[in-house]
Amino acid sequence: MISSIGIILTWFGFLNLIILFISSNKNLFQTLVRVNLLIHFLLFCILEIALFLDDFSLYYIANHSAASTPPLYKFASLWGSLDGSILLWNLVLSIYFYLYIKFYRASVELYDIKIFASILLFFSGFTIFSSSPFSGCIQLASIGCQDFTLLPFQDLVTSESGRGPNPLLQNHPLMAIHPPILYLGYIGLVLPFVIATSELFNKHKDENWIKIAERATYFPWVFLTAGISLGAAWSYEVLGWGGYWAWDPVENVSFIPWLLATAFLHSSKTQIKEQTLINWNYVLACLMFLSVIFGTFITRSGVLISVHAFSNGNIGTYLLIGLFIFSFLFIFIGIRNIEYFKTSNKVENLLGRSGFFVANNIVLSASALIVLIGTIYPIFYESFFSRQLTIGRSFYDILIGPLLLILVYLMIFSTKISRVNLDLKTWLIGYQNELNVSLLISIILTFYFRASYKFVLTIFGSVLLVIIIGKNIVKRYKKTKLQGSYWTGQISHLGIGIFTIGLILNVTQSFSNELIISTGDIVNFGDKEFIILPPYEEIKEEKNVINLPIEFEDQEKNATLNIFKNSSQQAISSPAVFRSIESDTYVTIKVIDDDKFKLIFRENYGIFILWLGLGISSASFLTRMRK
Amino acid sequence: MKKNLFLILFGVTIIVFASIRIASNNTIYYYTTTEANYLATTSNERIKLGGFVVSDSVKKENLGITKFEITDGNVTMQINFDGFIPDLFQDNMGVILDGYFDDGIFYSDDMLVKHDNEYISEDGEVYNVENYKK
Repeated sequence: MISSIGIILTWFGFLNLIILFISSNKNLFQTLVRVNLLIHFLLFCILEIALFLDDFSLYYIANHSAASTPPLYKFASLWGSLDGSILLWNLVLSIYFYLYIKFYRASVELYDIKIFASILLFFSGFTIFSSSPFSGCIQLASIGCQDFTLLPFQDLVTSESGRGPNPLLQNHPLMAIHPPILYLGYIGLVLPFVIATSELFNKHKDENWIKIAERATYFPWVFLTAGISLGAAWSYEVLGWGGYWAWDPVENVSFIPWLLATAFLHSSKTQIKEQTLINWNYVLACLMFLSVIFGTFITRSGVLISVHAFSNGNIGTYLLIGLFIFSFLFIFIGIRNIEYFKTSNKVENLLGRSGFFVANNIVLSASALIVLIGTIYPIFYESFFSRQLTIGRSFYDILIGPLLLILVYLMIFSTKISRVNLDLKTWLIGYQNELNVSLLISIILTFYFRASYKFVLTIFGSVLLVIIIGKNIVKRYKKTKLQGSYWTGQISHLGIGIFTIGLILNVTQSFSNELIISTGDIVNFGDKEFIILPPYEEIKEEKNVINLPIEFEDQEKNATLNIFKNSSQQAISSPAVFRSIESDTYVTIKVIDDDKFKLIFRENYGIFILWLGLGISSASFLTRMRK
Repeated sequence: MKKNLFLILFGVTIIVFASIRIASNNTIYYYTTTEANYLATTSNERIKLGGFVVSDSVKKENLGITKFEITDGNVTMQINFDGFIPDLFQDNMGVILDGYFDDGIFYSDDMLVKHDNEYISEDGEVYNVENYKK
């Protein structure tokens, strides 16, 4: 029943979008966009209801949820696998469509509506023609469902119990928060694409398009930053995903749009203030969204081996077609506007705003290109030499590390940037104290940690950055009448400075050891002392949990091993994390053998500082609210 | 305009060239047991080795070290595994192991269980788990 309602409503939604696409009535579209949002919201609710009612006559629910799944993870199962996550994808697109006509619309023509509608049509087409989370089950498997139908009112079979979500996806409450936040960022980058293409398609373009596109990129950027940070926090808590960042393809394809969006937020400023880089801004505004589709293609089509085990299917080809269509639109409109691009002013002052922002854009887009190459290199290598490989972490360490460092040094100058050239001499004299203090701090830290030149260079730059911007914020925030966006930038930079300090501490100072222990043992690790208490087992409905309590000073925490029933995946180890500002001690169970345990102790430096920095950057939007 | 375009193309070329050079020095290859055969006694390089777990070859030793054999249908290799054993791990299952050879034995601490039961070797021959059992 729910299956049929869902499928028919999806058809209505599709029909509604077709009308939106065809109609040239300038009064009708607002209603249709609202109807579209309503339909997608209803679809979301219906699938949630079906998940909570354990309606195993739905293929998706039989295979990705179980009666014993706890409510929070039932709720999150909606985006736990491909078909359902497209439903969320379309809902987010519809939300942005609505926000677009409400806040970001400049043109009087309807091209923007048509472009937006065609993007939505493209993605909801997939749920109609290929696979829908509402498709009914017509043939059972031993557990779950084997085969499905895309038509309503069929004779459906109901499996007794569901397969349950992937254990990795029901091990942490961030599953309920991280994907929607990330989607709000990732998909939000559709806005600058629609604004740039439709405005430049108009014969009489509104010169304000860049201002609107910049505003429209900002909030998706905040969500993307927060989403990536939350993902890093999650993988830090779950063993086997390589700490907080592993340069996994799925992580990479969320990072590429982030880099491009960050570049755009800077380069758009030069066009707003000085009418420079118009052509480059058009390219960036479109590349952000194209990189989103490309990223989804890379990770969902099964061309790559990834720890984020996503299902393969025919979505790969489908997305590739989309990528071609939207790239064609981008190139076509770009060529039509060659004359317009020639009105762009030249970048003259290399030590002024434009110069700095050009440097920033070169570094950021070079990083994006490098991450892209690292991600697709295995695909090309395999197709030419028919041999599979992965790229090691050191590839990114060698190439991205120095680029991040350059960015840190560029940001130091961000407090005083203006149209005219910066006078280096007066700058150096003006910031003498700050330079001396950060030199002193970095010398002390270098001796304290007995560190290398990389450490010295990074710590000097980032401490200087934090001091200069911190002082700037404290001294001038209340007094000046500078725009909110100036302070957004300053606070983001402060966050990145703090983040870099944490990052370099973490990368250079962390150490780990594998220890074999029995209960009652006292373990010395670093200069800390841990007591291992007797383990106990908890039997829950969906999993068995082996807890190993560990005592450190007055805290007692459990390292756990989760063994999920009803599913065909691995046991998952959750670490006991003893946090402090300077460093975390991270204890995971590797193996249990009768009364002996093999534990991995890891001293993770700078983790708190790292999260603090990311948090500050994500929260920078608060100043944007200030008028 | 033309000068800028030239500069951009030049920059992109340098980045692409440098990245590919560095990438090719930092790769971890996937091998089947047949392909890795010549490496087994000659190299200690870290690789990823794929194959199917040979029936009745799995032996658990002290402190979580598991010994078993894997094969791609042609060459069988001895594995010494020290790490998480996924629940799904069982006879005839396709696995990808991360590790290195020492004296003909493959030492691994990381295992990925292949979700599909088909394994295609380089010459395109498909080894199916069910067929392979016999």
